[in-house]
Amino acid sequence: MGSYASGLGGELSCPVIDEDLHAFVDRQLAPDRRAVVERHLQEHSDTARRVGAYTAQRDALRAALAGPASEPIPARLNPHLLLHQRRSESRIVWRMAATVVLAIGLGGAGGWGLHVGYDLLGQRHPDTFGQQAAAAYLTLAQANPQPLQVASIDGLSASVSKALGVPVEFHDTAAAGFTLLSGWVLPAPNGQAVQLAFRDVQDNKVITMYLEGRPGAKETPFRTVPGGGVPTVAWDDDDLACAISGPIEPARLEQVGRRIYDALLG
Amino acid sequence: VRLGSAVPRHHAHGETAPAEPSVLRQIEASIPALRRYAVALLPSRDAADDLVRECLERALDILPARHGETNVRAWLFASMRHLFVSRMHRARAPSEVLDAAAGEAASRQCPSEKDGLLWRDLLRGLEHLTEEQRSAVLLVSVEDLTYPEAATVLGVPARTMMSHLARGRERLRRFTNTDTGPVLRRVKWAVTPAA
Repeated sequence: MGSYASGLGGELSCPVIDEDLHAFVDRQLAPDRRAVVERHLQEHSDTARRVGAYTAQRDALRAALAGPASEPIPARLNPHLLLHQRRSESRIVWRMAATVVLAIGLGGAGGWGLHVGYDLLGQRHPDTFGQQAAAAYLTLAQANPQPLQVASIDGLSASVSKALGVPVEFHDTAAAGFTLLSGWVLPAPNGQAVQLAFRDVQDNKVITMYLEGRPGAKETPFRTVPGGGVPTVAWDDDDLACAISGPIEPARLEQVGRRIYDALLG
Repeated sequence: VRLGSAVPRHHAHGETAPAEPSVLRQIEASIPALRRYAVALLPSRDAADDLVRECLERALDILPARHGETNVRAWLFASMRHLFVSRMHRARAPSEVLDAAAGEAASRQCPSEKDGLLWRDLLRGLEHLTEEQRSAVLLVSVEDLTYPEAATVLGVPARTMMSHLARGRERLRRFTNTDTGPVLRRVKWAVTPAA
């Protein structure tokens, strides 16, 4: 374990700060700095009590969570078995891939110079999907969002399920602070995509969610889509590819995306 | 540690790249710690092991092709946390379930009654931290990650990680601190993205 000295400049005479106290608890202090902190604690009983509480907390957490780490590892978590399974799967996928078109280029779509690339498995590269979502946002930004033409949220679910070829069940997002403005069905390389526009009632910004059916897709982490022209965060869910676009910084966009997604599909 | 999502699998030869025995060994050696971290993140043992399994599948896809990855353990923690965070919308669990898990975890160890109560309060207290605070506390206190490693796993600068750690510890202390009176009453809490 390395010694923690960043921000302390390595100066022994620096006043003891909160970071020192934590590094003391976690035994990540260099020995000479440790001595300085020990002296400090002898002179400051309040701080010493707090450090004592943190140390006790650390010990108790380790004890309370010792169980899961000491139990036998079940077979389904055995990495050797998992590796064997994955190799068998990938052989099958390879045979299927042999029948798939190798590469398709679509240049200049919508003026954003989109290039849709396919890998050997016929899956578009993830950022291409995200960039399409961004492009769809920009298309929308130039139009004036009109109220939704679907009579009910159930009607929307039905329309979207049909367009995507994947069953989805939507819920009202108003309570979560996002007014559903409108929705569009757009052409997409694998069929159709659906774009939904929401207004964030907090700051009045328009956020779009872009969805494509993708049977067999599994959940992935969020990824920030570079170069889309508008901040966009994309991810896959079960049988769905999703992206959120809007004029807010990616870190917050991810949170907003999560809230909308939760409210809409949760 | 660089976590790409949806890193392409290596199908060029129709198989995943052969795993280096040393990488496989390191993955294997990390499983107990991954399970422990997962249990502290998720309400049920099954859900925790599902998360671990998915993390392992990803690791087996990606890690063997990344010969330069020197810190397999930190990579695994980062990868698993990423999986967890990206699907918190799925992982929302009623507090009652988490309570039950906390009680179960405490009773499984057959601690003294006093320890058992403390552990239960601690594990319940963890629920009341933000995910970043919880992960910082767990990774540093329980998993012995260095501060730079923990910061990498959280994907934040070292200072920010320290702030999560400090706030998490202080908040957790209030759930177990007898000096300040009774343990805070539980408030209804649901997993919501940190605003």
